[in-house]
Parts: sequence; structure tokens; C-alpha cells
Amino acid sequence: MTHKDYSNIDDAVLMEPIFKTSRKFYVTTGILSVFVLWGVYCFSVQWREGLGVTGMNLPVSWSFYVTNFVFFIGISHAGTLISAILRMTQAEWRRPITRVAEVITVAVLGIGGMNILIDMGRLDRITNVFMYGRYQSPLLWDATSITAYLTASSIYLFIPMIPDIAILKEYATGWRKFLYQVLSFGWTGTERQHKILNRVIGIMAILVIPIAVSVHTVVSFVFSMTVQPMWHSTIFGPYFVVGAIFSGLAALLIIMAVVRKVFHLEDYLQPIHFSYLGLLVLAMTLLWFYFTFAEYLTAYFGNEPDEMRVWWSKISGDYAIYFWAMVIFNFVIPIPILAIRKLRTISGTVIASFSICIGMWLERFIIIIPTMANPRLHQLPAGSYSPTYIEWGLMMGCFALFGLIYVMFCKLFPIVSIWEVREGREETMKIVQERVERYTPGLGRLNDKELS
Amino acid sequence: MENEPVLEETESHWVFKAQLLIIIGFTCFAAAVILWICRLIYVSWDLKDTFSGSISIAIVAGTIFLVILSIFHYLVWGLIREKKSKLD
Repeated sequence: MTHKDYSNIDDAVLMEPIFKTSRKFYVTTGILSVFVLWGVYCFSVQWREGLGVTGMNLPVSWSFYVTNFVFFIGISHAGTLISAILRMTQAEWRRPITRVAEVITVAVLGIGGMNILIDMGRLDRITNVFMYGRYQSPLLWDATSITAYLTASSIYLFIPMIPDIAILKEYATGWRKFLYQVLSFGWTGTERQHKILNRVIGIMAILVIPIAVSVHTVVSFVFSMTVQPMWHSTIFGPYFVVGAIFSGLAALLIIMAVVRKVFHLEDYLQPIHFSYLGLLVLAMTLLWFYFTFAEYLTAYFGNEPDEMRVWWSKISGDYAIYFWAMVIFNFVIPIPILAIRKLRTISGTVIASFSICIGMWLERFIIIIPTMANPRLHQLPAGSYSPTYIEWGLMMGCFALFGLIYVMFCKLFPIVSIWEVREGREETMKIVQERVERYTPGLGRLNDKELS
Repeated sequence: MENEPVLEETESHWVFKAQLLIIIGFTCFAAAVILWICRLIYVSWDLKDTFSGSISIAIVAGTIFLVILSIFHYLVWGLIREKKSKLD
């Protein structure tokens, strides 16, 4: 027996994945590990042979890896940012969702950054970045902001886990007990400890929002600070942030559905959560379409020859199939599913989310490749690009690594915050009632003096 | 059974050591990032290469890491001290 009996306590279902290991766990980790190892093999080939084994060429020197980098960094916005906003706005329905979301951020940020290292070619020269990096380069802004976001997100994930780790400590034995004892940092649940914890969560929630926004803005600067056609745009910052939140929310919905099904969390992640998040995704779909329309219309109206080469290659040229697939996946499919209440079910939101994730990956691809293939320098010939098995292998490896990190996290820590759910069960009605009484005319219990 | 309190004391000793290791590790990480940022400022000054820009970015980035580090210390020492005072 590797644990004490916990079946009689509330929310025992949240501890089950931690203390019970089924065959499914080994099968899942086995399959994911095979893909990760395949990715490692592909990287070893690239390390040995150089970037020549990829489909990259002159002038297409940024391709799959940079696409994946932007995509993964975008997905990271699902977690910490959404969680922080929901905490700040005191949305009571956030309680079972926040941790599911926060883990995504920490996992994918590392993988996103890893794609840049894979793309470097001469990874043995990585120390040069640390020793001789120049803040004149937006790439270094990226490195700085992603490091800050990863650090802040890890702390923001860890802090609300402390009371849950203290609960686990009571039921674990052996090395797990030691691990939980260490990570609970002496949590006993006193009033003062709660005060410290809530204060710190509040500060971190405020701190994390601007960092998260800055990260994807800075990612967009990598493109918009150049004068390449269809990259040199002032709206790239907000366009990327909107796209990041859009794809991040979609990824969150998919993972919520998986976690709900696999760990039998039907009581915690209910249809209403999917419906609320589905409405948020609907709003983001419309915003994304607005930004895309504005971006393409402005470029078209300017009629600048270099821009138009890229523009037409997307609309009716070599990349038209990807462009129109992006429009279908990001707009045509999700809009009816998310707008019609009857379709906004768990299955509906998951289908829409899958569609959006594919569409947003295509969006990143369509931003990068056509511009690289049609550069402003006329001395360079127009290029073309098709990925090799190395790039596909590394991409699959990245997705599998994300899955593996997520599975391992679920094996060690509860994926739904136990103490927050309990707190919600005990206090939500009171909190909400007090809040409604504060702003509803005629029900106000606070007089002007108290308010001032 | 008589050995249990001794065993618990030894365990808590190791727990505290491990916690200290995490605190020192995180502090070193944040300090290393801040030192790296300072190094980049020096490089930009040495090469006369957007020194003012580097300073602006470094002030923001360095402050963020300092704030995160302070929050972390405030939390963990707050929790540990509270537990110790409860035990005393």
C-alpha cells in the first residue's frame, strides 16, 4: 500500500489519479514516450547533419519550428492569463478550471522556447546568446519576456497548490510523503497562512496579466520589427495577443474535456463551464476575424508591390489552400457551433476547439512561410517550402512531450484545486449574495459613508 | 513506538533542508537572470549599442524578477515561520 485510505473524505475522486495507477496510465505514458523518443531521434539527426536535413532553404529560413514556437507560446495564454483574469473578476465558476489551465501554460512555454533552440542549428553556440546578446534584437526581448512569464507562471501555478499538497501529505507514504512535506512549506491552514496565501495569489494575478500580454506582443515584434512584406504592421501586437488567447482557450476546452472523461470529473467540470468558455471563444473568434480582416484589407488597399506578392500568394497562389482552410477552421466551423445554444454542448465546444487549434496553427504557418518565400530583397529568388520527416517528427515529439508533462503532473498533483472547490462549496453562496447586494439598487446594505 | 518522535524530528530536519535547497535554488536562478540582464547592459555600453534601450528593458525585466523573488520569499518564510510559531 503506497498510501493511507482516503476514500471517505470529500473530493476523494480528485486524489484517485494520484494514488491509483491503472494500466491506462502506463499505456498512455508508453505511447507518448515513443513519440518523444522519435522527436529526440529526429533532433539527433539534425544535430549530426545540420539544418540541411530540414525543408528550410534560401530564402525560407524560418518554417515549422518558428510556427510551432508561435503556436505553443499562443497556447500558453490559456492558462495563467485566463486564470488570473477569472480570479481578478471573482468568477466563482473558475474554481475547477484554474489549475487545469495553469498547467498548460507552464508545460507549453518550455516547449515553445525549446523550438527556438531546435531552430538554432548550432546549438553548441547557445552560450553566445548569454554572453554577447544584444537588446537591440527583438529575439532577445523574447528570451527575456518568456523567461519572466515562465517563472511567474510556475510560481502562480505552485502557490495555490500548497494547501492541496498539505492534504496529500496526510495520505501519502514513502518518497511521496517526503515530497509533499517539502512542497507544502509547513502549511497547516491557519488563518494567518490563508491570509498570506490569498495576498500572494492576488499580487501574482495582477503581475501575471501584463507579463502575459507582453509576451505575445514581443513574439509579434520578432516579425513586425522587420520590414518584410505583410509583417511590418502596427496591429501585429494586439493581433497576436488576440490569436493567442483564442487558441489558448480552445486548447483549454479540449484538455478540460479529456481530463473530465479520463478522471471522471463530471461533477467538477460541468456543461456550464464549457458553455461559458465557449461564449468566450465565440467572442475571440469574432475579434480574430476582425483583426484578420483589418490586416488583409489594409495591405490590399495599400497595393504596395512587395506586399501584394505575398497577399496574392495567400489568397489565390501557392498558399491559398492553407489560407482558406484557416478561415474555415477558425471562423466558418466554430461560429455556428458556438453561437447556437443547442450546439454549445461539451462535444460541440470540443469540436469547435479542435477546429480552432488546427486553424490557429495554420494561421501561424500562413504568417511566416509566404513572407519568407517572397522576401522584399529582389535579389533573392521566390522560394518554396515543404517540411521533411525530421520537422514532422520534432513537431509530433513536442506535442507528445506536452502530453507527457501533463500526465506526469496529474500523477503527482490534483488537477482540480481541492481547497478552492471546498472553499467555493462553503462560501460561494454567501460571497455572491453579498456581491449582488452591493450593486443591486434597493438591496444595498452599504451606505455612502461605508463606500467612501 | 518510543522512537517515533525522534524519527519525526529527523524527518522534519531533512524536510527543512530540502525546503532551504528550493529557496536557495530559486534565489540563485532569479539572481542569475538579473546578473545576465546586467551583463547585457554592460555589453551594450561597451559596444555603444543602444545603451538607453537596454537600460529601459533591463529596468522592467529586472524589476519583475525582483518582485517575483520577493513574493516567493514572503510566502515561504511566512508559512514556515507560522508553522514554527504554532509548534512552539
